[in-house]
Amino acid sequence: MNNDINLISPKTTEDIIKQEKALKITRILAGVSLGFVAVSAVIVFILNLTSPLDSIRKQEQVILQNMSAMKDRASNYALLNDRLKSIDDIVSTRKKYDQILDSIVASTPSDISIEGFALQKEGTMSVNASGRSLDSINNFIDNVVSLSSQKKGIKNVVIDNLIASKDGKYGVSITFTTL
Amino acid sequence: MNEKVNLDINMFHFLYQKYKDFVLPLGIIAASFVLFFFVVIPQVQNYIQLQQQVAQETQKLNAIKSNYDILSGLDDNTLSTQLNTVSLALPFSKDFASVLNAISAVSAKTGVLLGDFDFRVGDLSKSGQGIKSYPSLVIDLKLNTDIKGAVKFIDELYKTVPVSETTDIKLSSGGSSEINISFYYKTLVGKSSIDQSNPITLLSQGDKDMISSLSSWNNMSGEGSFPLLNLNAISSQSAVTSSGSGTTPF
Repeated sequence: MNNDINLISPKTTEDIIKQEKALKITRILAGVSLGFVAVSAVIVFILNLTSPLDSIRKQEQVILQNMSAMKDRASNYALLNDRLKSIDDIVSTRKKYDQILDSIVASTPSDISIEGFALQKEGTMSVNASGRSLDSINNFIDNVVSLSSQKKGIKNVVIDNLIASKDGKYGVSITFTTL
Repeated sequence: MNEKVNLDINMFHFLYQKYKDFVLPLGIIAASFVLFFFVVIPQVQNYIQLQQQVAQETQKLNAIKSNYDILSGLDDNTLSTQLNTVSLALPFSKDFASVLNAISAVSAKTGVLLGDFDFRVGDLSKSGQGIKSYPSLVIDLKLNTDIKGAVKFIDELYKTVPVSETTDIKLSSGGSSEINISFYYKTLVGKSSIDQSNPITLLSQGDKDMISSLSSWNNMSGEGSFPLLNLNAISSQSAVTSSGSGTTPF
């Protein structure tokens, strides 16, 4: 067997040009990729190196050191804010029975006397009133209903009973829900 | 067999000879890829994290600076007076003296005579559970007055420190009424856990108005007596006591 027999066809000029072109492109790609990696690595390294994080932390430490002298003042101020928030919470959400009672007393005709107020359960109040004039009783009921329609602290006004006694006296019992 | 092996080696040798100029550029491209994924990308991730940290720290620094400016601008005397006012309005613990003084002051102001009263203290070892989750000291009070007097009493009580809420009312024209009052307090907790980077806000106009309003309430005394720099003493004391002006009617 003759080892010198060459079965591969010899390269044409066109093949050589193609190979040289491919080689050129590959070399360019290699240079670009290496350059890109090198440049980006250097840029990111410099960016990381020049971060202002340490400087910021140093500034923080300096201010915190200065603030440590005012630690008690800070605590007291926080306490003041906390108390104010709590007081505001209580004052704004507590039931305004004082205003409701004021409104009802103020809307009572002069010839009507209030016999009693009672907070029956959470949010429900009753008022008993009496007088010798049915017109005044009517005015009193109208005034209470008016307070409800104006949403002045009460709603759901219910007349529990209206009594006329033998001595010419009238009594009314009204229940309402406080807002 | 040997001939076959020789043929493969020849083939590789042939291929190498044919493409040997490509080996170095392809090696560089491969190395670039490896460097990009194992060096550049982690560094970029690190940079992004660093930027996030910088943003957080900058925010923290600004908050600390702002806090420092606010605290530097505070006047200790004003702060002491304001703290005294709010502490009288919402004591640190069950403050019997303050409650009695409040009732006494309201009684003196409205001219309402007081009957029996009954404190419902509850378990002293617990903070208590009042309305709105604030602990409270509850007192049942009998008033020897007509309805208008009782209404006036309740009205004044709502303008008296410590802050209270009327929780039960039985008023009658017979000259005897019963009311149930909850006097609120709030215990001192977490005073040592103040984070200095938490933004401190200046008192709003609403807050200032409230302090101003509170200082005009009944039973408000002991102005400026709240001891700054003495928080331990506050927590150990049973209360910041207030001295009522009226004589006790009990």
